Amino acid sequence: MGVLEIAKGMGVTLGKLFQKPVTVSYPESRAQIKPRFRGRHFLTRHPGTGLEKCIGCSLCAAACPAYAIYVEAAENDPAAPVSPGERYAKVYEINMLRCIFCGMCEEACPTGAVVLGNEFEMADFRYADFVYGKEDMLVGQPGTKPQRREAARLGKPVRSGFEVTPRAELEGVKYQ
Amino acid sequence: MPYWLADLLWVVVKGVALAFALLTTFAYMTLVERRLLARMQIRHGPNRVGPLGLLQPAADAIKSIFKEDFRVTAADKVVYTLAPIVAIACALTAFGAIPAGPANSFFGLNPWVYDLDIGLLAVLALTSMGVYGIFLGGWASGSKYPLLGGLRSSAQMISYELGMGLSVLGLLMLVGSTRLRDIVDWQGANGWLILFQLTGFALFIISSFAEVNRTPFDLPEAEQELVAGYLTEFNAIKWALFQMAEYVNMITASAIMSTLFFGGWRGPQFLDAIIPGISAWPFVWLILKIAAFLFLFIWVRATLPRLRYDQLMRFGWKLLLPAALLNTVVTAGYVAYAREGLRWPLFVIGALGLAALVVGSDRIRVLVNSPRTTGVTELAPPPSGRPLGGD
Amino acid sequence: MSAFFFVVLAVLIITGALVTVIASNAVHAALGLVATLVALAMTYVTLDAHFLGAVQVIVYAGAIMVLFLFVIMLLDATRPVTAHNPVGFVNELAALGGAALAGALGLIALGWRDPRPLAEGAAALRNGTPGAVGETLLTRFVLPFEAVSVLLLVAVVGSIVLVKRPVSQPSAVPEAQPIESGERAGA
Repeated sequence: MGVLEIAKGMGVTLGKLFQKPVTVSYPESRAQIKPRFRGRHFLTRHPGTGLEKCIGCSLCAAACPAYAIYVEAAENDPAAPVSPGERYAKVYEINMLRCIFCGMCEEACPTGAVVLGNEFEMADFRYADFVYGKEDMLVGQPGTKPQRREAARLGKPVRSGFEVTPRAELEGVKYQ
Repeated sequence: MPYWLADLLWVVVKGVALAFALLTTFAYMTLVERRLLARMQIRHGPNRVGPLGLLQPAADAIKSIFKEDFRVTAADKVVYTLAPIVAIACALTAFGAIPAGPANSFFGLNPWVYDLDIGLLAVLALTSMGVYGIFLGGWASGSKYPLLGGLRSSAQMISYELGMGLSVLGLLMLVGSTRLRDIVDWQGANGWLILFQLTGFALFIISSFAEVNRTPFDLPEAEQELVAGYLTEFNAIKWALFQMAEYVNMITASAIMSTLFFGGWRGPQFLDAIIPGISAWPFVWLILKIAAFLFLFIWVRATLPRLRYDQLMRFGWKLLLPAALLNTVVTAGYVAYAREGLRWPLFVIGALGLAALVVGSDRIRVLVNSPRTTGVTELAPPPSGRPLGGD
Repeated sequence: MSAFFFVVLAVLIITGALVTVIASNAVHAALGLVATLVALAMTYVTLDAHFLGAVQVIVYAGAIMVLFLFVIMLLDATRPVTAHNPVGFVNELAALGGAALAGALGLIALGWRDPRPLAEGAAALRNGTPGAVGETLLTRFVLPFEAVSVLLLVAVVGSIVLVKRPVSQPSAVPEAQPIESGERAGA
């Protein structure tokens, strides 16, 4: 009966009124995101030696559909190698405004050096600040560039607005 | 100071105080509605401005007032400005008739702004004038969607005003007065009128939803079809005035329903056994009842989808009006022939009528959805055996 | 005090009536009529005929004028009519009719006596409780009342006859086609 169905619907909405909201008050409480959420890139290191995985092969730049990656390779100094291979990436830049976070670079990478992490809070003011260099993406750097700048200004540690368990590929990555 | 001047002064003071109270309620109603709708959709709702979002109405008000007030070139200058004023003026005036307590209970003043013999009729008259605001606003915008919204509003108003007036006729016959104070006093002596006019109340609440343009009857606004209906070309304070009118109308409709069917400002009398005199406290009970109805308005908005335009018209003319007429005739017959003071059969009659409406609601829906038009012969039933109809 | 109100309301009524006649925009004309009707209702209220005032607003201003405006907007009749008038001497006829009406009104105003049969109705309308009005209407004035309702019925029937189209043949294309094959989304 039509009216009873309406009453049933009203019951559903009333029930939802007492349910805990699924949304969160975002900056204050952390958002729960999935491990496979694709945020900004990390450049990972070998766990034992601490050497960079990236060997400067530029396959990521070739695979990138948005032409967001720029790699400049250089020969390793055998006495103090940066990476275990012959060469390493002297310059490794990703333009986060061009990047579409498709993950092709990660798929193309033969050594698993570039991995898409979960950080998404990259909003900034200047165009140049969106170009993330090697030093911005290597594992161990907490947060994104604007977050680091803000943290330095306030003298507080970087605080990410989300909670997630990083994937296995992101070895050594910890969010704060 | 002559006596009448002092009287007039107090009435003006009360009117201004009431207007402020209504507008504050409106401001917080927007917040409460947004929060409640959000919670019913399992999200938080606005909670940024101030603690719990409590300053949100203030932020909205400041924004509306200081926003640039521009006008569409094709708009009709005078009517475009007049429309929101008409809407809010009628909405605010209508509430003044509601008695909120016994005489002289508001610091020695009467807790109502005006008290007429024709109280209910005056409220109906003012609310029926309120439609001009929406209607002229839609026309004066000089734009297509607002015009459609205005047309819908007027057609809706004509259809539902009749049903609304007729559905309270039975009640008025029982009480024998249209003065709202008399209606409240009658209920104090004989019990709430919802008991004796169940069907009448069902019809009245449906027409009330249509009268104040709320879901499922919010066709004049209809965001999904008409951008914002009659509001499309309005902005800044004019837009805010229309919103005010809508919410104040909602509050008035709630107050009218409380006063007519739920004992008005009087509370339930069995509570007198616990705290003597609690049922005669002014304001408290009326505000509680109004709040309950406002919650119902929001609750329905969170639940029901909008009716289609032709369904709305058919519903009004084919169901609401005849049912209200039947209710009136039955009550008239009862009042004329039944023994004085014997009222419980009216409850049975009303419950039967309501039950008939509920049980027959599927049949009624077919009536409302019928796509039959003149000049077209009966269509063969579709091969699948699916019934004809919109849904 | 009441004289003051009367003057204000009379000015409103006459202004509204003038706007109704003069305005070239049909919506403005209708709004002028609304103003007249509402001011008239207020006049009733100043005469203590509250019920009549409320009914005037509900019925005329609230329902009939809304219908008027509805039709005006639906037919987009707001633009002034500029076409040539097919009846040549309509202005002269209108002037004659207006003069006759004005003369009649003048005669009535000059030779005004309190019409005795209406005293009862006036007494019922005063203080404006609906009960007294209804009782008077359905006892003393039942014949005129019913005559008016018959008149309205005639008007309703007449308008339906005027509007009704000749019975058409069953249309070849029915408005709602039964669905032969395929599934309707969400049906």
